[in-house]
Amino acid sequence: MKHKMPVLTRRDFIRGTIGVTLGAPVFGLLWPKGEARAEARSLVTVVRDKNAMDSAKNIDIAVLEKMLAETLTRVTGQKNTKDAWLSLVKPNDMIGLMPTDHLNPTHDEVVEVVKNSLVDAGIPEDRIRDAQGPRNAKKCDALIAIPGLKAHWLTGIGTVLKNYILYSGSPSSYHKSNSFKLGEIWNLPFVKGKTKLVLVDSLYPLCDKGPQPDPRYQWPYNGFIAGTDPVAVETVCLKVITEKRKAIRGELWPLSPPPICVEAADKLYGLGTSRMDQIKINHYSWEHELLL
Amino acid sequence: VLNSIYYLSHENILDLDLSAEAVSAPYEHIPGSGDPKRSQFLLVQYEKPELARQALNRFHDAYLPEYKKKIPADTAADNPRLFKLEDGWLAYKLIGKYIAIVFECPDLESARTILQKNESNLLGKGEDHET
Repeated sequence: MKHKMPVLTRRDFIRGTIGVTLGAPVFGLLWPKGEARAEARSLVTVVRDKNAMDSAKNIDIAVLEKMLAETLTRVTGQKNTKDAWLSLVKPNDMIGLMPTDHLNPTHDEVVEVVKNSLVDAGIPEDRIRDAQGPRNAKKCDALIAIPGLKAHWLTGIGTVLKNYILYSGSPSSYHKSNSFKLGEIWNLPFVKGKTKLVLVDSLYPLCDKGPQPDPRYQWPYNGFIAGTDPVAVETVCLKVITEKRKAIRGELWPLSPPPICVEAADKLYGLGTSRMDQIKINHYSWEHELLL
Repeated sequence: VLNSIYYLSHENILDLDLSAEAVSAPYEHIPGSGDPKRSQFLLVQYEKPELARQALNRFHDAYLPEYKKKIPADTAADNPRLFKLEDGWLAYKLIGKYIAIVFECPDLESARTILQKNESNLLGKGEDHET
């Protein structure tokens, strides 16, 4: 039986040879961009507050604002929120906010707090828009990815990398075994280089895949997981989901389909690092069930 | 379904279809290995020995492309094939219409033992060992 695509196996992930197996010419991409910055360490900031949500899942906006401010200054190393935003975006940028609207949607409160924070930093309100949708990134100079933390029945994890799937114009081409290609969307000409911050809404994650959110697999994590390296952020998100699943079952409970997009985004598409030993996790505040 | 238990490939490299049945089990704390890592055992039953042989061929081509293939038509009396890979030892054996594979063993001996024990159990349960 002839196969059009080379066979990608578990061994390619272990060896880090996904790109070699698939072949860079298949996608017309340079391989391996990931190797060039293999020595760099990516910073991922985890900020949690047990008071972010009450038992009825009502969000405390004031706590959320504090968490965002903490996140921004920690991610950028700047002294205050305004300087932090201005180190990421320019005041005249058209800024696209990229929340997720499916399965475990980004909380509206999170989007609102981000928007208000940008305005407070001096970004005109009319320069901030919702960038979710097939062509919306084309009109933006900068993107702030704000996905909800979740596993996904079509891609294993459906948080950071999958957040841009509508930009592909062909979402179903990136499902199941083809989900390893999600990273290529981030390299589309109208997307590449525009993402200035990835801020994952981890207030109430979903650790099993759906297609409908099952409340048995949602829990209050009350956090933001953030950074400028999308793959590193996704890797940390995956760790949280994996550890939660393990805690629920008492043994390893692998995601299905496997989240092959994460390592492929690193090794094949050079978007960042998927190696935990190259990720520095800075965690602040609430320690309970950190899962990292 | 197999990939949700133990990811092997995005392709169906074991030719699994509705006529095949499989069981998989982890082995933990293998005595004497001193290695806490778990190994994964997989046993697949195909409809016919020929289908099992073809599937093992496909698995070998996809998963072990750098190793020369040597899968005889009947391996009833043959030793398992063992390979030192990146994540430990892999061993497989064709047993009539069954394929037995063990992944991530800490050493050659434990890989061999896991296959042998499972083969003994299988044959002891009256497997019609077709030749």
